[in-house]
Amino acid sequence: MLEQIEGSRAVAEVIALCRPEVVCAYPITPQTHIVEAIGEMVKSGKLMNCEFINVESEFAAMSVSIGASATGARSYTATASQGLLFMSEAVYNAAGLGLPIVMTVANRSIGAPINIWNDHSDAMSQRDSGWIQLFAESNQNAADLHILAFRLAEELSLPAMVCMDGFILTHAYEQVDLPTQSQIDSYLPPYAPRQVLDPQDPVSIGAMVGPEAFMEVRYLAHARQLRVLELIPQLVDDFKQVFGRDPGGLLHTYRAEDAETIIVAMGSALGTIKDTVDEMRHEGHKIGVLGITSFRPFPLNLVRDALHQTRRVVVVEKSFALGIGGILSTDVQMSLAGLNLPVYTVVAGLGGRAILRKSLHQWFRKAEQDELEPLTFLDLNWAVVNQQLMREEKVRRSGPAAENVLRHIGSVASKIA
Amino acid sequence: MTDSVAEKDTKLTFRRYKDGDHQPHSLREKIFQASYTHKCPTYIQSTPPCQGSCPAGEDIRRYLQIARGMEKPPAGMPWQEFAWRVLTEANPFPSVMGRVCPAPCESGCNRNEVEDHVGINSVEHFLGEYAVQNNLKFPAPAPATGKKIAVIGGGPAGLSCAYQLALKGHGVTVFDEHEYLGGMMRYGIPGFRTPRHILDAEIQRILDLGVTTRMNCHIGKDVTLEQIHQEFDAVFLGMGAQSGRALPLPDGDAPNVVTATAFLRAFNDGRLQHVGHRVVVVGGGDTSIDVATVARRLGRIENAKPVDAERAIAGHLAHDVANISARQGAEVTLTSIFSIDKMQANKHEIEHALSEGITIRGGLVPVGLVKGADGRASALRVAQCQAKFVGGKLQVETIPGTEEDLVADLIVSAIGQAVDFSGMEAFDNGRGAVNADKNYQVQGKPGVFAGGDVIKPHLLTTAIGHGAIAAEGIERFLAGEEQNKRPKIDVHTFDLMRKMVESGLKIEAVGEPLRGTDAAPVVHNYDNRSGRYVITHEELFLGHFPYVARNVRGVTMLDKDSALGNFDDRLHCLSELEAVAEAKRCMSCGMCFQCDNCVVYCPQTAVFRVPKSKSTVGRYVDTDYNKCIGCHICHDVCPTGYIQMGLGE
Amino acid sequence: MPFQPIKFYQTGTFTVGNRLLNPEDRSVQSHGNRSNSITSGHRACQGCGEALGARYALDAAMEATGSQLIAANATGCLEVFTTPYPETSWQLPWMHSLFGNVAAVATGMAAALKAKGRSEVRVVAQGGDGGTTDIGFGCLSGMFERNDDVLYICYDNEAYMNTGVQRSSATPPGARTATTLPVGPHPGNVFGQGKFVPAIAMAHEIPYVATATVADLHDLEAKVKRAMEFRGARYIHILVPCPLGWGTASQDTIRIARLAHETGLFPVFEAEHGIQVSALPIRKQLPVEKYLKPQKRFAHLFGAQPNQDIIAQIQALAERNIHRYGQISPEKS
Repeated sequence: MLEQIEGSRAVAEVIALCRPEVVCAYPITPQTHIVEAIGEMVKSGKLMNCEFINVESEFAAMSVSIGASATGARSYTATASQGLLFMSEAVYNAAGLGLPIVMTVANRSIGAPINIWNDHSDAMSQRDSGWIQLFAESNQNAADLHILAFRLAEELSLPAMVCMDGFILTHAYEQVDLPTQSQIDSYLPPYAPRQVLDPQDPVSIGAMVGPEAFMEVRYLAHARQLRVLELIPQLVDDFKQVFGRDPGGLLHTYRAEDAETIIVAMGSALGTIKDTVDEMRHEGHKIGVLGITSFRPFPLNLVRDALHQTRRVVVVEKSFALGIGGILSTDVQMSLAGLNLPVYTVVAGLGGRAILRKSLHQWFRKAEQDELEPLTFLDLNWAVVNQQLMREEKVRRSGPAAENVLRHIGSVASKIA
Repeated sequence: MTDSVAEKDTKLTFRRYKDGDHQPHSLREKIFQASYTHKCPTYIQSTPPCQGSCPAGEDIRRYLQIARGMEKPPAGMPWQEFAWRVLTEANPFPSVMGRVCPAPCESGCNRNEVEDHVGINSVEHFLGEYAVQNNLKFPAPAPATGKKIAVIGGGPAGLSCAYQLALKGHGVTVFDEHEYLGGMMRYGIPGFRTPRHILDAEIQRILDLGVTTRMNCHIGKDVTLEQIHQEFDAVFLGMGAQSGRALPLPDGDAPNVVTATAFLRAFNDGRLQHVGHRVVVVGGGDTSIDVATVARRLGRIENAKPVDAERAIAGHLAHDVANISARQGAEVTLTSIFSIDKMQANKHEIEHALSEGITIRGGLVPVGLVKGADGRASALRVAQCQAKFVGGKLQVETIPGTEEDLVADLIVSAIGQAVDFSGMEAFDNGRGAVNADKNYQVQGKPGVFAGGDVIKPHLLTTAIGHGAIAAEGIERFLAGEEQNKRPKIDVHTFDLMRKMVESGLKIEAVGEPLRGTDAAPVVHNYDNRSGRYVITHEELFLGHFPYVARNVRGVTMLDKDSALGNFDDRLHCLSELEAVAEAKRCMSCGMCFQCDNCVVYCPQTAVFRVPKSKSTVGRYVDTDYNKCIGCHICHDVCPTGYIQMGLGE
Repeated sequence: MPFQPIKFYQTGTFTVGNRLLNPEDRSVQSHGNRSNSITSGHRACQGCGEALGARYALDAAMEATGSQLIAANATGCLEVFTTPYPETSWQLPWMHSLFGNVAAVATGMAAALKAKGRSEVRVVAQGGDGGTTDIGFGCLSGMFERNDDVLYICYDNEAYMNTGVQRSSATPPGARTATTLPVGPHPGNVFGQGKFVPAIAMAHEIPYVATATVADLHDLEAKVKRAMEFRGARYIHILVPCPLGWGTASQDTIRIARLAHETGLFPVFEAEHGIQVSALPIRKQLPVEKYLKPQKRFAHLFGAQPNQDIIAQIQALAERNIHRYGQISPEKS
């Protein structure tokens, strides 16, 4: 049923249809609307047999999910940004224990400086945690990926994170085709855990593992991640049968058949990029797009297959590994090992900075000419940066950088567009 | 220095590690090496202090355990009977001793360290009463051996010896110069402390074993020692110390100055019906209290001649028995060289005496008699003194100028007893006693044994113990065996092996190598140290025992007026409920009492209960030494000190 | 005629498991079929109080719930010594997640059971003093205030033992730890710091709060069973001596725990809905030296010149506890 609906609400509706049994909520922008909506549904009785718990921190949110999942309950929570970092220890733990928790990360930057707007830094911080990480391109995609995530996670006993861009998706009203309960029930069977705390059959979960076995246990977790790459295409096929649409598999290409330049990206930026590519195609540029849904596990071979015939690759990513550069692009480069393809990393949209078609045109054209630096920053205000660098060179007590930059710009949040 | 280094280099050393030690251990081994120790629990039976201090050597702990229901009686037998049978293995007079014994067991009881001793005496009393009421008999004697033993003296020592010997099938004849058996139990202790029907019942039980008596028989007069030697295979001397010690005063001789034994005998014979107006008793021990309380009960009668009492004591029958209704209280004063709190007499006996209106004056020593014209004493002259034991010897320092006269119609000396050796002078060691070895065999007289007051005047229970040990010596003598060394702690004690046999458990010899505790017939890591070790409260886990008040026997406390003419039994027997409750207070020093603490507290569940089919008293828990890591917690939490750490070292 | 009445006090020797007691009076530990929640073969040190305390508490809880029990465990000695992979001492469903989240994990378990309608299965969370009073305190407080149906048991050995005896907020004043060494003018842990979590738990007004020591098994088991009669958040704080960290002989674990109570230094009481309802009376109050002296962590207070000042301060703490929690023996008052 098509509805004009807020992204958060759409996700909440889908989560409710997935019949979660324990949902933990701790407020952090921009994820809040999702759990608020679920809370309302539990309280009103629309969502039954579900414990909605207002925890005291994200750390507790994930911990409660761990306990609930290990006790055989389908568990869900949502967070973002600092919240994800605060629960980080438990995030790793959930993955290590192999508990199929599903979590929405409403992607948001990480402070300091504190910033509530979108980029992918938070999700990237947990990329090695052992969680499946799926990036949604649109609200429909976000809703669908949650259904897939439950099925996938429970099949493999691995936790899954669905990443959707904060505000850009969570707070955007779009048309979403919401599935029905019977559709979901036919796609997602009741949770049958691979390990469960049950007095009838006592097991110990979370034992200490010494050097004699730790590597093996870790490898098994890796092997399970690799199974995701095999399983997702099957589950996508099932999904298409039940819901009649593609939830987005491991990755997808757009107008990339004969492209000499392929833009790689994740999340909502793909929309803007595709528009830009459409315009450039219209002008005769051989340019295409590779959108990656499954960042973890990373489909190395599929990425290589998608890119190996092109001339150059531009990775536009909303994340930034300080001191080295791109994060997604590092993985892309790994998939292209030995091919001698230039890979340009464009860091864009950090902290909610708008990614403008105008700027993308500029960068992509430069790339086509191979005039792009390996690492560039879309629409970086060099004047501000250089002034602060000079100040720091001159004055010992140069003051807090963020405040200096704001003072120079003159007003807050007026330059987003 | 250099020398020693060189020496080290050349000297052979013992290798610390063996071949193969570099190999990794199995996981299981590693676990136990994580907290390794050589010391694991062992089960050590010791003698509890109550038994250690019981001169009769009763297996007190065991009959208390039976009373509390831990050790079960054989099928069909009430627990009271089972407990009584265990008790009477050592002492055939529980009903008497349960009343009059000053109970050294209770003074020794480790429970004194918690709050108050276990009322052992009252449980013994209960068992004795049960046996009398239910007319219990001793087991039938062993088949007759044909051996004949003469027991001279039918008091506690002689009867105890006769009892033990008769049980074993020997023919025993008791010679006694009195009309009735019982000795000091009858003639030394007033009937309100040992009711006569009880005493008679307990004596009759021994006679029922086939013991014959020759009463009113004076050795040397009615029969000679030589005749006895000819007729009998062995002799036991238990004639006691029947004569009292006179006051050691230069002019201590007067018709109305008598000894306690003479006084009590006259009373118990029924000759003494009343005493004079004022009675002074010199002593401080239990006997002096007996005299004082008897005197208090008898009182005086109007119109009595002042000499009636002394004449009765001297052997004459009283004339005016009919005049009992006119009985009035006598003023009785008891003096002791010790202060009241240090007197040897039982504390509760002292309380009785005080309650009954007897004046007790401590710290007084008799220094002379004040005599009247008729030669009778009119007062006892005393002086204040300080008495103490210095190196085991009594020292009395008289304080000059503190003399006073205690006016008296009758003065009783209760300062000790002496043996009457008439007819048996050969045994006198010159100090008024018989010399005997550890087996109570008279030195230099094979086949002649002795026990009781003839060795050294002491408690009734001591005499009973002597009699039992002498009986064992006589057994060996009759069998032609050497007299062996007695154990350091010579008391009756629980015998695990015997119990196991009784419980139908097999005991077999098992050779090395022994490993683990599952080899069925093995009694593993158990040692009975009862013969050489009395366990002190320091080795118990006293924290285990909460304060539980003693179940005190009901006692009729008399006052000055009600004491007069009252010869009723003063002690009330415990009810069954109370006796069991009192037995439950026993801390079972030195023997498992099945509290489960070790099983409960063992962090490794290495300590386990012996399966019911294989368990018995003292064999209730065991340790799986494959699991034990030697933390010693079981040893720490064992309330009874039954668990010691051993092995390996 | 005056007759001295007989008082019938006897309730049976107070043995923890005497089979002569009425079955209902016996301790769970004495039952042949106790669940042995932590079975043998674990690698606790000799005389480990925590190993004992945990088994007693869990066995009692197992009995109270008919073995319908799930346990969550914080990181710490208890977790480490019971589960060296691939072995486990736990005979009930058990899970370890992290150091600081056990209360939350247990909340999740309880929530899952509730959502699944399995109300007969109960949840117990356990942690050491570090995992409870320090790093796990936020989650603990959250679990309390939401009144989640969890029994939280803290095994308090008064320092971070698993990491090598460092100070926690439950370390008593004057005690030596690796981070409060007996050097300088104020040796050992400082006075005026630390927190007593049972009192904080009471401030949450949760249905049940109790303290116990590993020494008094009957008391401990009764409290665990009582706790299982409530729904909602419950907290039991058990003092468990650590021979290694306290420097005591392994066989003295029980004795030391008893002394902690008998000196008044560790108050033993229970509270319902924020109100104290009972205190374990001290039969005979002992001076704190009796408790301190056998412990090497207090050795610097003694020696040739005992530090009377500090001992007096510790004694004052004991007096305050006795007064505050009313642990006066009825025999004394």
